[in-house]
Amino acid sequence: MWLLVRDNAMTPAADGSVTLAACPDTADRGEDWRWRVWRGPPAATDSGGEVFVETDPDSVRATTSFVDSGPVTVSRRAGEEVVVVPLVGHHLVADSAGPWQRWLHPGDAFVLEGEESETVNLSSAPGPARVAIVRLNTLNDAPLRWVP
Amino acid sequence: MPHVLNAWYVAAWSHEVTRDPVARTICQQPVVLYRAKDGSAVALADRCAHRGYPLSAGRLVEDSIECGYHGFAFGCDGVCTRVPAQSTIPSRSKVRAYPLHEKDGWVWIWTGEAERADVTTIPDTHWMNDPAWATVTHSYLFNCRADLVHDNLLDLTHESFIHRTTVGDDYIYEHGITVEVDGTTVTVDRLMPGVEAPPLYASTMGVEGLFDRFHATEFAVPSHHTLHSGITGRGRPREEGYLIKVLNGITPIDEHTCWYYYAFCRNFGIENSAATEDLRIGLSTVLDEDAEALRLQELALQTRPKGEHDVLIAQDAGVAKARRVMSQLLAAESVAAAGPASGTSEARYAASPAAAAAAAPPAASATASVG
Repeated sequence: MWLLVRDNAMTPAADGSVTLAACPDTADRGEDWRWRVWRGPPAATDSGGEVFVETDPDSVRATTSFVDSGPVTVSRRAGEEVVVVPLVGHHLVADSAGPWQRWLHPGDAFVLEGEESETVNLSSAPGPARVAIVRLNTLNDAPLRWVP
Repeated sequence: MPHVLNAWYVAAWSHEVTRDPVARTICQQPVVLYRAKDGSAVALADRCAHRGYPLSAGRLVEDSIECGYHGFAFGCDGVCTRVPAQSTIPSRSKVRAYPLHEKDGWVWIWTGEAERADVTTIPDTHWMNDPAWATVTHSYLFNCRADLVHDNLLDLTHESFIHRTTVGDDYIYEHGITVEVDGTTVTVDRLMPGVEAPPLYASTMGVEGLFDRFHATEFAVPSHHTLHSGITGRGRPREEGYLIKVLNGITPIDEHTCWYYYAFCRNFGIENSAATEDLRIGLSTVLDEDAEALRLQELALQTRPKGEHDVLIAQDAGVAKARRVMSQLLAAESVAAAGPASGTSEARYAASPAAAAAAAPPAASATASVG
C-alpha cells in the first residue's frame, strides 16, 4: 500500500509541528502505538527544516538518510515501512514496475509499506534538492504493517 | 449523527423536479422541490411558516407554493406572498430557500450557509451529457448511514465477495492500492495488470484475453465519488482503453438512511441499446447486492457496544483517511457554530482534531532528530 498525503491535507499542531505519517494513524481505535514522523516548525534556513522520528523502542527501529541529488532507486524490503519526505525542491517518484508516478513537494509525505519487497525511482527537478528517507523496521518477527 | 452541511448534495434527478411538488429529506432537513414557470428549480424548507404543515402536500399557484392546510403561499425565495385571511403579511412569514444548481441531469442542493455556496465546487459530471458516452442510471434509498456507502466505494475489495458473479474476482484484493489525500479529496487507486475483463462488461466491450484493469475511487468528501474504471491493453495508458466513469451522489437522509444517485457512463458500445439494457439490469443487481450488505451492516452496527471499533488494516487507508477528512469538516462546522477555538491537532497522530482528546502518551519512546 502506498499513501501520499499532500501538504494541504495536514493540520499543524499548536507548536507548529506537523505529523507527516504515523502508525497507527489515529488514537481513536486504541491500537498499539508504533511510530511517527514529523516536521518541526518552518525553518529559516534553506535546509527545508528538520525531520523527527519517534518510535516504540521495544518494537521498531528507524534509520534516516538523505538524497541531495538523484536519480536514485529506493528499495523497500518486505515488511519494512518507508516514509519519503521532500524537504527542498520537487521530486518525481515513479513505480519501477508500472506507470504510476507523482511529483512530491515540500510538505507532502509518501508512505510505502507491504509484505512484498518493491522499488520506486526518485528523481529531482533541476535546482536545489533534498529528500529525507525514513526506514522503519520491526524488532520482532512479524512484518511491520501500517495501521490506518 | 451530524452531517456536513456546507456542501453540495444531489437532491434529485432533473426529471424528478416538475410542477408537482416533491418532498425530500436531506441531512435531516425536509425540503420541497418544484419548478418555477421559467423552468428553474426551487428548493424550500418543507414546513409552512404558519403551522408547520408540509408544503409538499400543497399545490403550486404561479411560482408560489400554497400550503394545503390554510393557504399561506411562499415564493421561490421563500418569502410569503399571500395570507388568505388578511391583507397584511407577517414579517416573519417566510421559509428557508436553499441554493440549487442543475448540472448534467442532477439537481444539487447546498444545505449550509447560503453565502458559502460556490457552484464551481460541484464535481465534474459531464460524462452524463457527453454524446461520446452512454449512461445507465439508478436511484436507490439505502437503509444505512451514508458513511457505510462511502466506506463501500473506497474499499472495492468487497467486489471479490459481495459481487463475485458480476464485477468481482479474487484478483482484486490481491493487488495493492495507492491512496492519495489532497485537500478534502481522497483517492484510492488499484491497478490490476494482466487480468480478464469483469464478466459484466466483457461482452459489451466485445473483448477476450488479458488486460490491465484499473479502478480509482475519487471521493470529494462529503457527498460524491467518481469511480474512474476500465481496462486497457497490457502496459498501455489508461486513456486508450475501455473507460467507465461511475458517478455516485450519496445524500444523507438521516442517521440510518441515505439516497444513492448512480450513473454508469461508458465510452464503448455506446450505440448498443441491448448492451445498455443488459448493463442496466446487471448494475441493478450489483446495487441490490450493495444495498442488502449495507443494510445488514447498519443493523449490526446499531447493536455494537460503545467502545468497540473497526479493526482497520493497511488496505483500509482510504476509508480511514476519508473518515478523518469528514471528521475534520464536521469539527470545523462545530467550531464555527460554537465560536473561536484553537483549531489545532494533537501532535502524535496524523492531523486529526478528533483524535486529540483520545490520545495518550506512550510509556517509553525513542526520538531521533535528523535534518
